[in-house]
Amino acid sequence: MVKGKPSRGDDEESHQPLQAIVLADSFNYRFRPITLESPKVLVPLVNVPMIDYTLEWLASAGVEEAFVFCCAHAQLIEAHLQESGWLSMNSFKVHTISSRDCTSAGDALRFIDQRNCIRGDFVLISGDVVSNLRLTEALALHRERRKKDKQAIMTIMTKKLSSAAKKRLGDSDLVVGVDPNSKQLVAYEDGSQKSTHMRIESKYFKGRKAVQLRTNILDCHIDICAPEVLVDFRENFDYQQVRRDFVGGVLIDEEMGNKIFVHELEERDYAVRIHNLRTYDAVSRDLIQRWVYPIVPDNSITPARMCTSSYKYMRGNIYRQDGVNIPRSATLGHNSVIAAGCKVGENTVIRTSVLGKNCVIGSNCVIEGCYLHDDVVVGDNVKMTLSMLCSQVTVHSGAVLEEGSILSYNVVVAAGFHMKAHSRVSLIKQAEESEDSSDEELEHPPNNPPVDLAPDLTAANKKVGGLAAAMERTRLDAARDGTLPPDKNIWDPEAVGVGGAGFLWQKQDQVSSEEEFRYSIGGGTRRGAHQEDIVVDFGEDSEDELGA
Amino acid sequence: MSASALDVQIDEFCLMLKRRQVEGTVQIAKKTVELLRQVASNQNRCTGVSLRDAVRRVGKRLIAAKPNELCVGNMVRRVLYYIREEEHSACCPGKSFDLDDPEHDVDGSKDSNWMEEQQQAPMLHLVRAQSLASLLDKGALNQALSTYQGDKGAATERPVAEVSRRFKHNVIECINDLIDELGSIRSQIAEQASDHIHTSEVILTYGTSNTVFQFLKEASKKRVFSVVVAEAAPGLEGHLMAKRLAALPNVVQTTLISDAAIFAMMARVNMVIVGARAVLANGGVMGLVGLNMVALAAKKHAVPFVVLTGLHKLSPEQPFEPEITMNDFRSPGGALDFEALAEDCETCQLHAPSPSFDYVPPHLVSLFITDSGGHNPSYVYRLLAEYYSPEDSVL
Repeated sequence: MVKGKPSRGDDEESHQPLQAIVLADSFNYRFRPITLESPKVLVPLVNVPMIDYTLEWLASAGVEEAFVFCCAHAQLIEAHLQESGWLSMNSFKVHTISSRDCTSAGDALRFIDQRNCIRGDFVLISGDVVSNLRLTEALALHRERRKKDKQAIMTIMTKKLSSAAKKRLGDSDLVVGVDPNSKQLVAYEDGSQKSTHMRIESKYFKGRKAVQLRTNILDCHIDICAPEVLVDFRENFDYQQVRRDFVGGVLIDEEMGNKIFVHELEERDYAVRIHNLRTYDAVSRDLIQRWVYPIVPDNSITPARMCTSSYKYMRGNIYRQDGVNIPRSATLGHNSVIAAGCKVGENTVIRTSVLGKNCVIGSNCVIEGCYLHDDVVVGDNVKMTLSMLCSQVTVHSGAVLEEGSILSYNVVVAAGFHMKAHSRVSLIKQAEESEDSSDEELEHPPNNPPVDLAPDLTAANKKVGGLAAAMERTRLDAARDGTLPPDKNIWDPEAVGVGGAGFLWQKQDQVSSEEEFRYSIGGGTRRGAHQEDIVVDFGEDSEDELGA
Repeated sequence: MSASALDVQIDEFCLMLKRRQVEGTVQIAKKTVELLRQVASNQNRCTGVSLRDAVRRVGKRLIAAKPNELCVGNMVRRVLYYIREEEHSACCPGKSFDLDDPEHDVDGSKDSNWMEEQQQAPMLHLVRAQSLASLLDKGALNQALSTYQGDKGAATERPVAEVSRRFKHNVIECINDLIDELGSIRSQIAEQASDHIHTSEVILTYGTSNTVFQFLKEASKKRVFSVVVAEAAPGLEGHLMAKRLAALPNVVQTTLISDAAIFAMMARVNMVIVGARAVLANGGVMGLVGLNMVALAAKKHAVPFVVLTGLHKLSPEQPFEPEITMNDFRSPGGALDFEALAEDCETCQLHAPSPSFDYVPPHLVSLFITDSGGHNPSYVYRLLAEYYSPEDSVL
């Protein structure tokens, strides 16, 4: 265990059950247009919704009570938690808290604070973190620090990772300043301010032996917080984001004197938050290659399905459920996951991909590095690379999907259509550019709410005009069959071809194309410049150079 | 304990198995058997069929939590076997398992012996061990076949409630015996140490094992020998074993070598003694990863390869690609740096499997030393017949 265990007396005083706040809304737009119809935390990662990974990690880390805060699509999240058995576990109580008025993490924390349900130290995490880290040591260190100094209010989990590895994970350029002896955080710059230099308060250099500036740190976005964190959010109404506002605020603030500490994970611990599609891609591969052991595809973590047989592991990291129909001529390549009910055609090659339940793939297809959700229908001679296809997408024969294509729910790609790289297609039209399309934009659908086309999927969305909906549904069915006449096409043939269904989403103006590529599926470090890691030490001697 | 409290306990144990928070076959086996004992005592209307069904249902849940942990399935099948035995002796009170007497009477005449037989019931498996040889006698075979057709057999005239209470009591006593057995495995194996190790021998062992340690400790009290410990990468458990051996009160000269040196050292080794994770129905062994290499080297140098195992590790499962299906693949972090992925993420050609166990085929194993004595790998099928019923092989 850890040296310096608390004395017996403290142990007996009160056993504070460890609580957690799970923010099941990321309050950002990176996963659009998928998140217009389904919350980000329910997007399946290797066929398991992301929030299951977070809850499973919390449960195995010894957290006894978790509060899941939902904002957008709250009913879908609650339905999922109910149906998958998370709400009925014995040793791990999960409560849902939902509110439609919150627009940021800060609002969410203030809302939770009003409920007065947090009684002691808690773990703050968002619903899209995949981890297997053992919390005991970090927690013990945090509690020890708290005993000595009531103002050590937060411990951030970080992992030492080179810039190249961070880029693979789609993470931003983070520069962190840490006191290597006390592990206190003295500077935090994540590039969101888009400035070329960073600012460190001079007070942090006083009275310290050394300060270390590092670019080889990954922020895992798992925080152990004291209840004072909530108090701080309550008192500062303008705190919106945890990192930019709260951490930034604590670092700058002179009078309060609150301190944030950093805990570095060991080599064997894995903790990554899914920020964008690049991270989604990297973490999927890591899960398939068993880096997050014991959270692996063949060890099912959803409580309701805990005792049913899940995937079978085969050589080359291939995971297969029962009831899959693959002919001998087809190839199931390495690092693939294929769920029950899938039917694959002759001579098809599937490599490094994830297929959800009941997918139907035609013959002579090449599927490489793709993520297909449930019920996807793919015709013959289709070639797709590094794409993501959500549930019930149909791709007709002969189509080609280039890398980075994102097809949202129910989209239909016409036969023979060649989709350009990095296209995002959805059945919902993209809203006009508004001024405040900042990070705080809601996940709610824009001006035109989506038509209830797939009742089982978008049950929460309002039905807009029964007749219009019915007409659109028949057209969609026709498109799926490939029989949609061109004059009845209400969708964009530029996006999905003649006879297809879907609208193209343009990238936002303030997002540069370099950034767009960096955060999309696939690509990796193939084309990026190799960055050298920088670790700068300001030691005792340099303190004299800096002056008083 | 109420049914729901038992459910909670079973769920908790399943979660601990899934999260790999509990290790060690003896511990897992003990916990499994304790849960099954609770299942048995919770049963109210205690007939053989209902009890077996309840045990089978719970057993399936536990096995599904961690399918490659074979000792869970072993314990479930053992308990089912005891239930069948008790069923048989309760149903046909006149028929004890004394198969030497092929003239069997259907109840009636042997009523007076019934009480004695019931008292002897917990010792039934010992009686069986002696008379297994006469299984092939003609009369005995017919009798054995008829008993295995279920409890429709000879009707008993005892009042049902009394029989069922006694039946349940006997089953629970059997299970208690099993738990005691699990506690004494290591000492029973260690008792045989001085028979196998002779003075000034050189023993090679691989990785760490509590059973092997106790065995060597016991031997060191009477014999002077030396031990070569292979470090067993990537977990390097051999280091632990070497430290423990070197700290023994009776001096055992210990040498720690790397895995690469095993083949070279084998020429100077008299015997290889290792522990196992599971013993399969064909006599094959699932052991620590790298054990196959040690076994092959031993075979090459004609060095006896001795495996110490408790009988709770004996599994009726026949291996089919056991390196994959009965293995637990861990994170590649043991062999590969996570950063290495950054250089090769596009093509993903770099594959670093990290298995926990290795399969050693039966022709490489010389001897099994178990708590019931030493056995040949080719004798394993007989052990299976003594402890498991063929009807339980598929749960």
